[in-house]
Amino acid sequence: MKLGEIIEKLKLERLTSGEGNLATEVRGCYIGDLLSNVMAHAQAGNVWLTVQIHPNIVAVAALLNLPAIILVEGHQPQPETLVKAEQEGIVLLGSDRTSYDLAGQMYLLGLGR
Amino acid sequence: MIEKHHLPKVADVMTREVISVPKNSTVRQAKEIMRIKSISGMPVVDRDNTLIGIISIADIIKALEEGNLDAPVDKVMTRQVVSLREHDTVGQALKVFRQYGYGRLPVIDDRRHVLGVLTQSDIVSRLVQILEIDKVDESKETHLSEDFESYIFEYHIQGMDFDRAGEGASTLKKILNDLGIKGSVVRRCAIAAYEAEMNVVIHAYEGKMTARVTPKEITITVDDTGPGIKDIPLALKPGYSTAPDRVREMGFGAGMGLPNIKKSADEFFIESSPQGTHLHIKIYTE
Ligand SMILES: Nc1ncnc2c1ncn2[C@@H]1O[C@H](COP(=O)(O)OP(=O)(O)OP(=O)(O)O)[C@@H](O)[C@H]1O
Ligand SMILES: [Mg+2]
Repeated sequence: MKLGEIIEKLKLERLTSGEGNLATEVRGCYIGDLLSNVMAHAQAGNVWLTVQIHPNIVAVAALLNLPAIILVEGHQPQPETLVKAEQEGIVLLGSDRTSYDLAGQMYLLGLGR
Repeated sequence: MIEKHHLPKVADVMTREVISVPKNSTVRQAKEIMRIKSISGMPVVDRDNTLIGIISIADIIKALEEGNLDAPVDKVMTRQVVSLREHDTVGQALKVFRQYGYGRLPVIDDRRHVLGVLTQSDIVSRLVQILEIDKVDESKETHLSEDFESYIFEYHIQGMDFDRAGEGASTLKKILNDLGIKGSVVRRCAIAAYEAEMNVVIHAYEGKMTARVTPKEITITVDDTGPGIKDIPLALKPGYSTAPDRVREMGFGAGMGLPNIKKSADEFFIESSPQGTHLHIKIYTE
């Protein structure tokens, strides 16, 4: 399923304006707030769910070819994070829901299965 | 995913996330939306999302010249809208683009409800996806071009500079991709370089990363100016970390960086003194 469709189905808020990655095929998600764990386990094509909001999350996503980051539970990005994300073409998304809830919905959509 | 023998349709390639503007918004508001979303035009809709016009940059410039920025958009929009249907083929859509020279076209249903928008670049990028040209398939990946002997990359790392942290690894990743190194090898290099770079940012004063790339292997060395690691076997244990709380709040300090580097590397060497830490790893390309 394409990132754009997931954004629509999960009613995610788009925090960045770039449309680059919206057509990327998503292959499941990874949940984590410890960057080294994300580095070790998130796979290319995963959407990353986290509460971290600082610019380094964009570097992690870019290095691992993660098309998008969802800031869960209403966390708002730092302004520099938005700037970095626009530069690197990473789609930054927001939701008031928990990681469990969002990942559950993605699982039901058949992602990564 | 569409079948190979089907001609791709507008529905397959259009963007369903439509940025449109209600007809009673002001031109000024429309201008702001277009600026923030960096788009050159938007469908104008009435209350039930029915298409009634298009507002483009040209319309806005005209409104600006006439001092009409606070007028509702439906006063200045273009009413003669060229639109597409979901079942039009991509070929038909391309013809319409060529004929009218518009940058983006709305896609509507029988009752003129806006279902999506299409740009020519949407067509290109979605077609690439549909054809799965960019799918990472290592067996088919072009093998390393043998026309380079070695490539050297050097990067200075500043301790506690979290704004630039990760840029060394990102730059190295781009270089490796450009050199045609295969995806799984690039991934291991990216992980190792990132963790080593972050360790200098977090735990050391300053340092230098050097990567030497040959068709056979990538050698990454990271040297810093101290304070060094007291007990290396302990530092290598998964979960061991001396990261300060401030840094842990940012998600560093899982104590997984050195283990990640070791796991990514085919050869791993580390030595340390109070004058500095020296990390040396090799990753084979085959
Ligand atoms: N370049 C360095 N200079 C000084 N100490 C270091 C350096 N690299 C690592 N260390 C020490 O080794 C420990 C373990 O490093 P490691 O990268 O595994 O974990 P971390 O950096 O604490 O957390 P993480 O990498 O998971 O965010 C660090 O907490 C630190 O005490
Ligand atoms: Mg570390």
